[in-house]
Amino acid sequence: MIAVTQPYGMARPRALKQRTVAASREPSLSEEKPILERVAEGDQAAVGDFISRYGDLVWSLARRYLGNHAEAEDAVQEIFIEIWKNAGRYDRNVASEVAFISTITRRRLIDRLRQFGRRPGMESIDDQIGANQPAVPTTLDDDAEVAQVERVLLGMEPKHREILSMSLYEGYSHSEIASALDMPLGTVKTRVRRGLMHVREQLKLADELDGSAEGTSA
Amino acid sequence: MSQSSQKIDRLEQLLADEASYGLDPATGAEVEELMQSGTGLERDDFMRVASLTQVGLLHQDRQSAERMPAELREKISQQARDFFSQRPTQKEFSSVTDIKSARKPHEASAPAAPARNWLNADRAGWAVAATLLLALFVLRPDQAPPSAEPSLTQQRAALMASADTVIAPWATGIAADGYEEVTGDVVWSDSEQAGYMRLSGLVANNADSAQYQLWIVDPDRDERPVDGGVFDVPAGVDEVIIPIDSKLDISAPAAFAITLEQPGGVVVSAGPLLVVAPVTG
Repeated sequence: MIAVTQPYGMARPRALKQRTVAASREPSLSEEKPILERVAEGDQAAVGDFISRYGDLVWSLARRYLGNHAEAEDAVQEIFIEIWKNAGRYDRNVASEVAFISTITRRRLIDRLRQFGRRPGMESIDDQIGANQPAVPTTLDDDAEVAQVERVLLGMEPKHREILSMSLYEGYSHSEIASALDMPLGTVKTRVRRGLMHVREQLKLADELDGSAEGTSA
Repeated sequence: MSQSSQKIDRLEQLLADEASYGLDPATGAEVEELMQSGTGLERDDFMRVASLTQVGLLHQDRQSAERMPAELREKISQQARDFFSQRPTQKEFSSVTDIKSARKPHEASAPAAPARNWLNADRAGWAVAATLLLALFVLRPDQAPPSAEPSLTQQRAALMASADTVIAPWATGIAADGYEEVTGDVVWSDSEQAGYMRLSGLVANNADSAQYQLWIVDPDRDERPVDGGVFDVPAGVDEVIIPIDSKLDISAPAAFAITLEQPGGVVVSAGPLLVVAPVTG
C-alpha cells in the first residue's frame, strides 16, 4: 500500500504552468470553465460531459496497466468515484485536468496492482470491439504538457523509453522488467528514476521558456 | 557525497519507485521521514510526471486505446447521479450529529503500522471470518436513540421499512483496543443498494491526517471487501449517522468493518479493524 501525504498532490502551486497548444482557437463558453469545476458545483450536465471527455482515457489507461478486463472495470469505477469526491479540490492554476485525472488514476491503479498483482487477461467480445475502435481522446491533442512529454519520449534512446513504458504504462514491476530484459534490478530502478527526472526537467525547461516568452511579449 | 546529498539521492530514488510501482509501508515511512529533513523535493512531482508520461505513452500508442464499454459507461453515469444526488453538504452533515454530551475531544490518527493484515487473507478468508463472527459473538440490540435531525434519520427509518433490509449492530466484543465502547448499527438494503451507519462512541478524527473508512464484506461478490466510503467523526458529538457510499454493487453483505486510513481512504486497507458489524440471517 502506498503512503501519501497529499492523496492527489494538488494542494500546492504547480511548478509547471499549463500551456495550451491551440491557443489561437476561440474558446467556447463551456471551455472557459474547466469541466471539473462545473462537476464540483453539482452541474449534472458537466458530469456527462466529463465522462464523455475523459472516460476513454481512464479506461484505456486502466486496461493497459492492469491487463485484465474485469479488474479494469472495478478500478475505473473506483477512479471515477474518487474523481467525483475530489472534484472540489481541483484548481486550474495548480494543475491541468489531464494531470489531475491521470494522477488520481495512476495512484489507484498502482494500489490495485500492488495488492492483487497482474491477473491473466481474458479477451472478450468487448475487448475485440475495443481493439477495433481506437479511442484516444482528442482532448489530449490540445494538452501542452502531454505534447511536451511525447516530444521528450521521442528523443529518448529506445532502450530507456522501453523501460519507462513497461514500468509506467504497462504496469510491470521493477523485478518483472529486470527479469524480462535480463538486467540487474538496480539498473532498472535507476533508469526509471533517470527517465522520470529527465521528463521532469524538460517540462520545467519548457515551462520556463514559455514564461520567458510571455514576459517578452508583454 | 555529503550526508545531505545522500538524503536527496535516496529520496529521489524512493519517490521514483513510488511513482512507478508504489512503496511498501516501511519504505513509505522512510519517505515521510526524509521529507521532513528539508531536501527541497516535492513528494508529488514524480507522481505527476509519471502520470503525464503514462498518458503520453498512451497517446503515442493509439492503436491500444479503447472505448469504454457502453455498460460500464452507463454504470459510471448512474453512480455519478447517485453520488451527486446523495452527497451531503457540510451543513447537512453537521445537523445530523446529535450533540448530547461533549466528550473529551480526542483525535484519532491513522495507525503507523497495521496490527493485522486483514485483507491479505486467502480467497475464502472473508467468508470464514464472517461465519466465525456469527458463531462466536452475541450481537447487541440497537439501543441508541435515533438522531434528532429528520433528514438522514428519516431516510434511515424509511430504509428500515424495506423488506430486505438488514440491521447489523457493531459487535463490541471483537472491537480493537480502545474501540470497545463503540455502539450503534448498520442498516443496509440490497434492493436499494443503500445503507446507513449509526455510530456512538467512535473517537473524533482529524480529517487532515486520517479518516475513517467503511468496508463491506460481500463474499458472494468478491473475496475482497468493497470500499464503503470515508467519513469523519467530529469532536464533541455523541452520535452520528453516516450514509454508506458503496463503490460497487453489493449482493449479500456478510459484515461491515471500519478502519482508520489516510485522508481520502485507500483502495486496499492493511487494517486494523476497529469495529465490525456481522450480518445475521
